[in-house]
Amino acid sequence: MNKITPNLILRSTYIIIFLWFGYQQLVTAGMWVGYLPSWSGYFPIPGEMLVQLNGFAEIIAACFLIFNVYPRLIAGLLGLHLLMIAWTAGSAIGMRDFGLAMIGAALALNKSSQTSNVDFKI
Amino acid sequence: MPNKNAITVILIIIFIIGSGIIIYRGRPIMQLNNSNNAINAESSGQAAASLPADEDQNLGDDDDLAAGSSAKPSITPVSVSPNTQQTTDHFYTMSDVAGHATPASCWSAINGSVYDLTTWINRHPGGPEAIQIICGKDGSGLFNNQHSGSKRTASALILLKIGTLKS
Repeated sequence: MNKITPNLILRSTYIIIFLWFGYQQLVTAGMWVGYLPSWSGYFPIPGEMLVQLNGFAEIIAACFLIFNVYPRLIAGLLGLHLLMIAWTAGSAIGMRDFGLAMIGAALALNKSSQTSNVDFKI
Repeated sequence: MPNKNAITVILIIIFIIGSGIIIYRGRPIMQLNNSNNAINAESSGQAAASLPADEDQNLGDDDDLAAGSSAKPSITPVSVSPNTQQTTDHFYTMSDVAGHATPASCWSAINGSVYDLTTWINRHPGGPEAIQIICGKDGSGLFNNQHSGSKRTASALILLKIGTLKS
């Protein structure tokens, strides 16, 4: 049985977070449209569709983490994603997302992996 | 246990397929079809399962909206052409468009087509005011003055189209 390491805790946390956020964005996309930044208007995509696509992408990213495939790369990308959200949202929501982004940074920079010898390669 | 590459390929394929489904089902014209079917089901007392609630059956089945229900919803198209193509073609008059003149439900007629701009208001790069002033109206003049010839704008509008303006 694998030991419960800090890396495992962080990765599991990220999995749960993005599975939940991704699911919420898929089923209640209308409630998340308000969080879209103004520059998203340059994309010729309706707001709810953009939210659902983002949510689905987050779920797929969580699946990558579940299978421990490119965990550092995926965690780094998710952290950057949260950093952009934190910058756009600001205030308390932005601060919370900044903290979540730092979890991703910790996972991305942590060279020790839970199981396999997956290297940080793009 | 599948290897890393197999898992990656599988997840990427799932993402591509899922994105395609989201884009297809999320088109405003599909949402309008589903909402009209839901209204018809409630008003006629039919079970939801007996109605073509899924978009696959809505493709080309505009006759269900035009001829089936006895109680038409307030946003039902004036007339619906027999449709043999993939995209349903709803027709609206300016009075239908005028009934959606608020930011909560913003329709506009542009160059002969009717668009649902509700979700676009806060995302418009030029600010929400530019969209709000054409809610419930014919915005062809303002649109052409500002965006005439812009492919990016035209592509943004395509996904927002819900029907054709009936002259």
